[in-house]
Amino acid sequence: MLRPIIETIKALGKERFTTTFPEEKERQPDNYRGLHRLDIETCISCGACERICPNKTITMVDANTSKGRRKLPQIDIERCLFCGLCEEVCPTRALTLTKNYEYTEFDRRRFIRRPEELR
Amino acid sequence: MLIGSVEKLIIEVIAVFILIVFFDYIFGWLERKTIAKAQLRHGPTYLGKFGILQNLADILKLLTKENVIPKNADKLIFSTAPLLLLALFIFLVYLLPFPNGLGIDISIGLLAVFVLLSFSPLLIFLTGAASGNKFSLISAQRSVIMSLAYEIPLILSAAAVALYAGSFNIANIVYSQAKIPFIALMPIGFFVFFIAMLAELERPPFDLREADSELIAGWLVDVGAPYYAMALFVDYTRMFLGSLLISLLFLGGWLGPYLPGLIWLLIKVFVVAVVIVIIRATTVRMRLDRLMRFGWFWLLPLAVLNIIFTFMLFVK
Amino acid sequence: MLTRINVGPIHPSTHGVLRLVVTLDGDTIVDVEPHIGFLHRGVEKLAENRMYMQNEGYMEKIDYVAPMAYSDLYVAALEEAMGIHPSERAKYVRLILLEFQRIASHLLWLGTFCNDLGLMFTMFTWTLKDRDLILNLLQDVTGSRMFYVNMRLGGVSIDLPPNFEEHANKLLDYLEKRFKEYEAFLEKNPVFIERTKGVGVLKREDAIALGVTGPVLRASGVNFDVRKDYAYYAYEKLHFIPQIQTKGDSFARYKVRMQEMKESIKLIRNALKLMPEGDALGMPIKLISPPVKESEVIVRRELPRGEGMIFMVTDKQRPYRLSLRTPAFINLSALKQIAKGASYADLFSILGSLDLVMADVDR
Repeated sequence: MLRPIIETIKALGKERFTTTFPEEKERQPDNYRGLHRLDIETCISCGACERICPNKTITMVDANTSKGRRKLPQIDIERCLFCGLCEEVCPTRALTLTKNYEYTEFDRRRFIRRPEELR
Repeated sequence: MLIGSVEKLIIEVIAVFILIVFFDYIFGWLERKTIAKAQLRHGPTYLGKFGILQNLADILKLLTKENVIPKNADKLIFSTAPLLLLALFIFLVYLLPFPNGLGIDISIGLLAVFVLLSFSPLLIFLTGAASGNKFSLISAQRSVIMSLAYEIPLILSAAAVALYAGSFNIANIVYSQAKIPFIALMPIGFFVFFIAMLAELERPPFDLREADSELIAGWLVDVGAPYYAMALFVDYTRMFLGSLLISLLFLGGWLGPYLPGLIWLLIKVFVVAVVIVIIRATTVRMRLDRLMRFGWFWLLPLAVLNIIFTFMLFVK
Repeated sequence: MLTRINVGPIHPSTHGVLRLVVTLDGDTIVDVEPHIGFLHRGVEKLAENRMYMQNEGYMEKIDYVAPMAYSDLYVAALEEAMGIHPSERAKYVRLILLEFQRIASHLLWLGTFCNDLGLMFTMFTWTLKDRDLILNLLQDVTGSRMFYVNMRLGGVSIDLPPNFEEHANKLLDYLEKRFKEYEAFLEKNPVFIERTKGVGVLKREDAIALGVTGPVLRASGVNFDVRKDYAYYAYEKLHFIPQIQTKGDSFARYKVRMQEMKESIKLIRNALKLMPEGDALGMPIKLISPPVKESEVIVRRELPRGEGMIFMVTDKQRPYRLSLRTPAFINLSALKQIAKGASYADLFSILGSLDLVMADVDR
């Protein structure tokens, strides 16, 4: 019975492993799959991301760009699996996944991100 | 200015009450931070510096909620039994002597403490049985059964201490440890008393009554929020009582060089409390029948052996 | 007099949503009846309407403790239907990642097992710290800590980074030291020993008759491990030894998993030494993947919980029918037999040692 108590006392001397979240953040690798980012100038509106998504997260909607009115992807963040298939299938690499993972909102309607907001 | 005896009594009562509240609050904070450090995480850090106001916030939150009494419950017993429990434990702390003239000095202090201590399983059983809920009834039954097994070794090892010191007055027991504390004279007695005290306080490994992963919260499943706050208070006061008993009977009470008596007593009480918290972080819960077997077959013979040795070696 | 207690779907023994209706006679269990289905999401039906590579995200969510194992099971079935063989290096890479996943899954099991017994989160936070270090290593490789979606046809999506070997070896040294400390912490604790030894004995004949697999079967003395008997990837070259105990009680199941973790460490070290150079990348995701001819395939793998099998009927672009044999479902059906005659407090020790994940049971 003494050995387990010694283990606990040894653990009292180790440093803490949890991080106090808003003040300290964990490090992330470069290929982390976070929130999407759309480069509006590069997107060719092919719709491949809409067709490859397993969960029907992406819909192509009308949006104004510098080249006129075209269809750009709109993403519903609540349905997204963050699997990365849309990033892999995009032919011009306009849609990428960034390292951002903090996207809390008070209103559920704000979770449907229009293409202009995916910056 | 002469202080009359009635005013002195009132000052003593208030001083000991402040001491109890202080200990409960600090011990609650210390327990949370120590367990968190042993589990490699921060404890409360947000409220106050080092999270010291966290317990205050919790108790205030619990006190402002609605008190819900279930339909099947017996209203009178359900409402009054926890209050009686709290009053009982606070009264028991008053029976113990404190240095510098605080506390009551009666000649049968040890006996009175143990007689009144044995009321607590009864009150817990009443609360659990008056809830009208199967789970509370089971856990209340368990607590009564457990206290049956562990009170006898507790009283026997305390009796060995009283045998050596020659009186039931706790202040006399402390003074007779002036040369050497009793933990060195009767180590078996200390071991038995410590473990039986853990069972009496219902701390892990003996925390069957509030078996968190089995019966969710045992007897406290149906009590309302203000009573839950009171139950926390009861728990910590009982810890204070147990640690006080251990340090007064075995560790030499308030005797010690250089520092005033009260500080020594508080240091010893905190050391005992920290040891109990570390045991909580280490052990697994025992099953009921193993617990009974441990109490009857191991602790009871050891306590009897302890009395026999004490009699033969020291009292002649 | 028989009482019936409902250990409801929500309870703090962290297995998920499982409802047990327990019939007690005093303190002895007479009957246990599990009610499942609270987490059923219809994965097998969902898979029929999606193209092949879109399904990988769904397969991973069947077991959220060891997701890569199911992803590997699915992609291996697809590879067999298409006749694609992964390259040598890809086999070793997959083996290393899967064995890390196995250690991570067993670490989480150890934490929740001690939680059920009453330890109040001490062991839980320690083992989660170690699992976190493994997940950080896997995050450097794949980009995500859970739900990796990194298995592709013929290999993996991202190859191992250049400094993987030294990071992995450092982590393995640290894990070996920690396992010694965990064993000292638990096995020298007399209360833990008496809570698990002799509790929930499953005899050898009953284990074979009920169809349990994985550590539960190996703890009853049966020498069956898919990695040995139906060997895949590179397990024959790495001299893998299945770990067996004979008693069949909760302590034996705990011991089997501890030994398996140490065996996984040895396997990873050997694999890192023997891994050939080459290309481990598989086919990238395309909008229209190459067509698959219609066939039926069966593939088995050793998942951390037992033996998993997948039966797939393939169509040109999407699976026509997908059927899964998940280990936790069968292990749960053995609960009734094991728990007869035990005392009520033992129920949680037995339930913890079976290592259930409810998403695995319900799919």
